[in-house]
Amino acid sequence: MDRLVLPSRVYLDVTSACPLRCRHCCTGSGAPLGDELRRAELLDVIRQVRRLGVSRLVFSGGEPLLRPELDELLAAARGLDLQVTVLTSGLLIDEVWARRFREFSVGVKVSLDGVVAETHDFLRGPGTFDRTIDVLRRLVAAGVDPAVHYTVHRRNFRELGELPALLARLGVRNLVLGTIKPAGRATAHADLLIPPRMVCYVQARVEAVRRRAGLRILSFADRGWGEFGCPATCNKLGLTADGRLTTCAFFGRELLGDSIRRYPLAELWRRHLERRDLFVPGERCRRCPALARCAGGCRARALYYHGDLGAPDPYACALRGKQEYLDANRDRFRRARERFVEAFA
Amino acid sequence: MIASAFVELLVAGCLVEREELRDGKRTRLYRAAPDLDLDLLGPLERLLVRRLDVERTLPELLRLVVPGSECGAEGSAAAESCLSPTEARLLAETGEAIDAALEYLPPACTCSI
Repeated sequence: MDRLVLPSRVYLDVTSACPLRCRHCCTGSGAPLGDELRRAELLDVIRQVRRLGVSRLVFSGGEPLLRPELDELLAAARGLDLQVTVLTSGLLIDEVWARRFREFSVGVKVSLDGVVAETHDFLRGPGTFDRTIDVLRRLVAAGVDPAVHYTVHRRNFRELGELPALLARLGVRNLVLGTIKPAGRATAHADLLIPPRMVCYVQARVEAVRRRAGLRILSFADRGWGEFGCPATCNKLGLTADGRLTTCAFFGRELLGDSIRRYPLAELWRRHLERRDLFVPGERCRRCPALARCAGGCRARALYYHGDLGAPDPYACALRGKQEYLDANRDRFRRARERFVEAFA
Repeated sequence: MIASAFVELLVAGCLVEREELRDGKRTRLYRAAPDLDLDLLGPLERLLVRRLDVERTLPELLRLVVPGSECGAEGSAAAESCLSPTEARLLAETGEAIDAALEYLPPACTCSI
């Protein structure tokens, strides 16, 4: 194991079951998988995470709180001194769970996808906005320092500017911004996807919120540009609820790797690295001078928009175009600070 | 906020820009890019895009969307000498947008493998 590059964190789907059927769910969660990992298997995975030398473990799903053994899993992970985050809709977090999260000192990331009920509920179901707001208040009151995960899509983008004020009122200090991915149930709701043509505009608005928000805003892009890149693939290890390695969380089940039931975690990761040529962009990207910066962006988006895993990610290309335009026009923009009309006339 | 909306649209590639010689003077013409998703735009930006359904110069656009604006009016003095109050307002409005554009640098890939 000496030379193995370790994953930055491990995502462990403890179930695919979810009470919601969110329109944009990239994993298409809802019903549990047929043969989900059993309690003893999950506990063993947690021990393997520690042995692998990874310090960050994320319980995801599905809805992790539907897993009856979640409390025991959290205790096991924290007992091994792993940093733990739970990704949740939040709807099942009562006062008992809020206290437990505080006692365990685990991170809690709650999905909030609108500033008003209409927008959030459109995606997640009637009444979910009010319940989510209650949960965030409950977590803050219990002393948890939750993060909100806001997935930017066409229907909630215009509300983004109002999000910091809402979070401030709730006492939430952490925000994770992501963009909707063409994966899972979202592919059936293409009207939610941000057209590549608009990516630079949307990105500028997101950056404006970042500048003004007064919040800790996190992003997890491995490849590509910030929130508009790939948050899933190359340096994170994911396991589905039935124990398969998620080569990329946004490829669905088509390109899953081997099973933890067949190989130990370290071997699964080694095999993942061996398959990384799956994510190597094709010839067009290799000729592009921006490749060193964007690494080709999101392969799932390339597949969705071009039907080709090796194709360029149109979001990455759009953002590269923006940079090129600005590089070519910086003097003009500097002049525009003093003589606006002259600079653009 | 017209000026900042204009800058943001321009930087975002929502406007197509072209140069041509008019009366021997290099002039920039702007037009809304095709297939824009108007639902994502704010009201001012939508207004600009609608006004730029045909190619226009910036002074032409301003005359259409800034009431009372005479800046760059045909036959007027060169843009650099006209409409100081409007220009000042435009500059005040657009400072952040321009600063943001100038500071823009996409984050690099942080992939560890």
